[in-house]
Amino acid sequence: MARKNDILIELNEKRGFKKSRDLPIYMLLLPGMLLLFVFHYIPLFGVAIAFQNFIPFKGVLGSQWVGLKNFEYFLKDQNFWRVMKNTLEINLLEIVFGFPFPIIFALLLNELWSSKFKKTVQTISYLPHFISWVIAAGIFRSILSPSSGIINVFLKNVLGMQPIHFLSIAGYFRPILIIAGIWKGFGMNAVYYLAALSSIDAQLYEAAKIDGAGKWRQTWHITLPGLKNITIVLLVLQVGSLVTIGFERIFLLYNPLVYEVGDVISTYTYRLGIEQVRFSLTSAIGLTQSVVNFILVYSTNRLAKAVAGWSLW
Amino acid sequence: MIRKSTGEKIFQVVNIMFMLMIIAAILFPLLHIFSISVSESSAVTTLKVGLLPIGFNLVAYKKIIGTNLFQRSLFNTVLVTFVGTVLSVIVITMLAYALSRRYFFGKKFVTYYLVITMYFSGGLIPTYILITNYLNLENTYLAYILPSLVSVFYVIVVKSQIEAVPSDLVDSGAIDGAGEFRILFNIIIPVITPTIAAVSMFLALGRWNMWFPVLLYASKKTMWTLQYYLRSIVFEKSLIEQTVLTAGENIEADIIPPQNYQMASIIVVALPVVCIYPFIQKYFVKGILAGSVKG
Repeated sequence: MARKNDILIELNEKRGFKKSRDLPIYMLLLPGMLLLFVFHYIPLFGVAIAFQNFIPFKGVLGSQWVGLKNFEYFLKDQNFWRVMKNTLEINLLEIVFGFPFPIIFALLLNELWSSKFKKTVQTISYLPHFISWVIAAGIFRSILSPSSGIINVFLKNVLGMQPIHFLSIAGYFRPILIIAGIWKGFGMNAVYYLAALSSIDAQLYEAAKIDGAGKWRQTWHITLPGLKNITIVLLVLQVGSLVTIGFERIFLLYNPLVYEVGDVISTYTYRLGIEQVRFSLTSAIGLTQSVVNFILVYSTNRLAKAVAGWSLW
Repeated sequence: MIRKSTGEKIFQVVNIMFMLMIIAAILFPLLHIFSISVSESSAVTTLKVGLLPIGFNLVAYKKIIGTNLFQRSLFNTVLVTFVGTVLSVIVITMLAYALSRRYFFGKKFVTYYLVITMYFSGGLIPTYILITNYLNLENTYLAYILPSLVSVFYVIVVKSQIEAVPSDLVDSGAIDGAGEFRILFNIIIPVITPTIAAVSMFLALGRWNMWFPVLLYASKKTMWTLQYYLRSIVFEKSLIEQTVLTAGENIEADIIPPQNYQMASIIVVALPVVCIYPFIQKYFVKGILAGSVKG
């Protein structure tokens, strides 16, 4: 009977610690919180090594503290500014060319008369989302290969051109990157817009038709405003993932010949940290990156709030 | 039946053509890769294969599937996908259920504790040092499974579903004297099974496509996963191609697999997902939308 009383008290939301009510809940929380502590919070405090000259066998406690020396070092490093520039530029290209594509696709898909065809197209558009970047990059590398790729075979046999080393020429690398990103992601990204489109009240269109509004004016005054909120949400999220975006894609497609235009913060951090074992320096870059990232998310969120009256939190 | 104007009809035809181009852009590359993988080697080496196979041979597939490395990678992938997903779903559901309780002592702290992990992370290097230097998990499955076991994003998704369960149902169980664990297993889980299924599929796809932790934490080939195996097969070749340009011919040329072999590996690794995805895609769509509402 004690049990029953406890639950009645719980329904009344009694505050303070209550062993019989709280202990089972803590047991449910324990494994997850422990894992987060070990694999999230310890590395979070581990960024302390950004202020050290960290030597693995001496450990975090035994290594020498050097203040802001690592930060000074990379701020003077030309490579750092190069990857910073690349990260921003590639993201900008992504937003200008990659971001609108799913919106256009969703709008056009929504206009198809045959719902069967619509469904087929949509299902096929999801396919690249399900295959890994390793496979996608493998496909892109194969068809773009200078010696055996079908595109170069076509250029040579039909147009009589010399083979082009697409993935090794700076001018081609970024467009390929953006196209690969669109190819892999547009179908799933369109899902958000299609859901928003289907939630627009059909009566609005009826009313507009009676008022004599044509297709274009309906699109402009009803459809696009209906997509406004979700577009802003996704834009904020995109900017929020700016510094980490595209790691797999770039890592699997780039090579030293295109570092000049393709190397970004995440790939640079990997090479510097894991391959060259410069732990402290890389952690300093990582820390800076997190701070920049947070400022970006925070300010775009505020901007979204000011412009559209909507925000993430 | 509403009559369509000529303008609308023309637009419809153009739209259909655009959609057909999109389908082609997705399917043709895959078809081309597939066709090379099953064509006769003479047609492949003379670069004659376009969209459709020329001749037919499955030698490359037989070779790949027969190698120890492939079998081992497949085994590792299945193991990590299965164990990782099951453990993840259990831990996530437990967290979500606990957080869905209206009140317990310290709920606010726990909520912040979880949400903070979504916005701040220590990054690649501190995690790497922790796993290799302090926990010594190199070349273990734990290094693949544990660090990404808890995803707070999915905790929030599952929690919002649990909160949508009518409270009468939960309270009636509570008054019957059922403890938290029994309420969770007997009342909550049966109701939210579709959500759990959707979350499992997201997690399983992520695990199946995983390769980066292998690059970081595995030095033994016996710890490879399928994706990493594919990366090595496809990418070493292009690495070699590049090196050939600069370094001459003295690289271990017999290691380079013929094109059939590479394309067949792409297809073998892609095939399970390509076959399954039409049946599970609706869960993904639902899951994405559920996430966007609460996330």
